[in-house]
Amino acid sequence: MNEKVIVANKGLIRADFNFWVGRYLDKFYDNLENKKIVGNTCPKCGDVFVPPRKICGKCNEVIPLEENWVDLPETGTLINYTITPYKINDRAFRKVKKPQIIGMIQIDGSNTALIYRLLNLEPDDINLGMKLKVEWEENTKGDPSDIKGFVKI
Amino acid sequence: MEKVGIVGYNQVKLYSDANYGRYEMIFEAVRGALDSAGLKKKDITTVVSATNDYYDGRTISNALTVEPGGGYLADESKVEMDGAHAVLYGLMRILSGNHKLAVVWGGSMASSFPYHNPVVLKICSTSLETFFCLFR
Repeated sequence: MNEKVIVANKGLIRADFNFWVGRYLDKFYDNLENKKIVGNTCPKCGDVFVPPRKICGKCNEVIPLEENWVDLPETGTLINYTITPYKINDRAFRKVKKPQIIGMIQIDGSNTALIYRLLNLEPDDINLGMKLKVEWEENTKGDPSDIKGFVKI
Repeated sequence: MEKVGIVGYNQVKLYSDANYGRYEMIFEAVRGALDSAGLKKKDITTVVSATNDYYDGRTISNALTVEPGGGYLADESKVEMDGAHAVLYGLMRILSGNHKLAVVWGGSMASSFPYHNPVVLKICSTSLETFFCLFR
């Protein structure tokens, strides 16, 4: 009789991967690297998208890549938020000492919201509609982490 | 029983252009089907998509397809595996009386799918990158 030995290992595997974001987001991240926020606007309804989109779902139209770009400010309004006692990126099951606040921020002049951490804020200090400002990373590299989070103005 | 028929149809070519992704394909296919029927986005009341997580090599393979698929602020649902299932689902939604126009689309990567296999649905094959039909 053959004897089979099964070894079970338990642990975390790191799986690196590349994800092509497309030409529209490429431009968005290029601008993030220069600490600028850009969006694009639908030629039909005029809605401004941050991050930029190729297709306006409302109008069912393509927004051309070469045109309709708008420069936007670093400020925005808090639309909604949530508070979590867990880490929100690596090893998400780990609890953190201080609860983290994640907000939906509508950049001024746009019609969509970005989701980022709210920094240097206590849960009691938060009000919907409060004005916030981007906190940039010192060394940007052209990806979503260039924005560290948003702080109160 | 109310009569339900296909009013528009479109199929896009197989592409290998990296600048032309699945969302563009979905949009082109749905928009083409709408145009062929002479209808507008606002006429769509429900969208049923057929994609396959396993063959697409990604989880939630219908993620971010709502807007290109014409599902913005419309009722939207997805079936896995079989494009014909999506067609029947769209048909049932119309027969329920709750919807007037259903967009049914399906798509997958031909490179990871035996698209030449005739067994896999002639009606609404998920293998043919993107296929669309509309019911009314």
